[in-house]
Amino acid sequence: MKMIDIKGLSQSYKDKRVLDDVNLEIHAHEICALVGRNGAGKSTLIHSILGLLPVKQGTITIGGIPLQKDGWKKKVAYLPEKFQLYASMTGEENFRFFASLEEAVDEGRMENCLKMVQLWEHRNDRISGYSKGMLQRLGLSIMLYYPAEILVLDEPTSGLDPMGRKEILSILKSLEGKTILFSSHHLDEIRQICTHVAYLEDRKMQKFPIDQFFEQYA
Amino acid sequence: MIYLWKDWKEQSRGKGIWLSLGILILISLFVFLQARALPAEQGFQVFLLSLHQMNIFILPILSLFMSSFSMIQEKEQKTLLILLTKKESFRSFLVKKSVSIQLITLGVFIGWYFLLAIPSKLFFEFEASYFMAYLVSVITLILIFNQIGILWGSICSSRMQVVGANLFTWFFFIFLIDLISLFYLPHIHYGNVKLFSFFYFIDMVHTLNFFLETQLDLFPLEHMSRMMEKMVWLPPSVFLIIDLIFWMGLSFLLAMWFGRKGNEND
Repeated sequence: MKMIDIKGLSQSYKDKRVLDDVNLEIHAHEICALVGRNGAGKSTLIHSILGLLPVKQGTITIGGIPLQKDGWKKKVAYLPEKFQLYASMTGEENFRFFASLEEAVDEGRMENCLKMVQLWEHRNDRISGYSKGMLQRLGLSIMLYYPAEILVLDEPTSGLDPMGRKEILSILKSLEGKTILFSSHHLDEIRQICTHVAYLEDRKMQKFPIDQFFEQYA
Repeated sequence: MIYLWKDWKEQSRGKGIWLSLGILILISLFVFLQARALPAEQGFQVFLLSLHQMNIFILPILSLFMSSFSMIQEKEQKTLLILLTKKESFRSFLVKKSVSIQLITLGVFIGWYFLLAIPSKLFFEFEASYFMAYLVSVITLILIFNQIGILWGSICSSRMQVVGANLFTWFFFIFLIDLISLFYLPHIHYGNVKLFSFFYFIDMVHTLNFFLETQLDLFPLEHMSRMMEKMVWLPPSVFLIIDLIFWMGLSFLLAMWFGRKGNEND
């Protein structure tokens, strides 16, 4: 089943074309890395997929629902690059706030999510005292709380030390039943956990199975 | 409600709101001590008017900074992006954020003035209607400048831009409009005073001054010249309501329009 289906997507900022007739299909349970140079349009593509940018040319379908219709937001959870959350609140307070956006907070599920990222013991600490890795894991746990089948992550290991990166990658790898799209510059982590690579170059998109990508480019 | 809970946790654990409250308390106490030197029957009106004159300088800048920083923080922390990809639209976010900021600021500041009413009752001839008129002026000032702050927080892309926009807004309403009005004053006559009145009273600072002076019985409306009657073509409270709706509505709509555009271009 196609979880993300992009057809003929073009995006421009003023006169500058950033994406040109981009097509991409991501199927259920794929872990797809979004790769490209700085400024290639990765964030523009992600923001288009999430409805943060209006789509003037082309179509995007999330879990079978076009972006113009209601209901697709429930199918997707997003973690931006270099997010910070609310620094003067504790980990649990941050979690509760974001969790309650969808429905009443399920205490058991919240506990599971925080335990999964090893933050249950730190839930009452203010996140201003969290390390970058802890913050990233908290963001990830919030994402995992949502019953979304598709996870979109913008450079989830950016700025983390090797241990922090390893923790994030092992969590992502351990997820079952999720379709993941994440942008990254680290080829080693892509090789570790991805099944496919979507390569953005000169405003065009090509998708490869992981082995083929490394044969061709690495 | 969840936004109110979240913003209260954030604000109450930060320094901004308590620093602002501290400034207000200090000013109020100094004005209070000065007003005590006046005879008790006049003291209360003078006290409220003096407080208001101080508020005109202080409250706008405090409200602008608190609300705009709270808003720009949502962008800097990328929490806005997460919220927009869940069930929020930019409009629903803006409504909830505005309501929570307004309620928190009003709650803290108005709470202080209710406390201040206790010693006022002991040392002055306390008049409830005067006190309520004063509260209306404070609430109006906070509501309007909070909303303008939210507008700047929505449009600007960095804290430095927000600081610049806030300082200009403050300068514009507190000084520049008066300077422009003074420049045109010699050219005002009976024929064009109504037009001048429109521009004069669309500035909420002028309207608030006029509203409070009339409500405190310091400016009687019964014995005005013909020109002044033409200038005050609506009751001061109606001018106040018009200002409140105009500035809050305009700020909200502009924030929605430009804020959404800004997020699209990030």
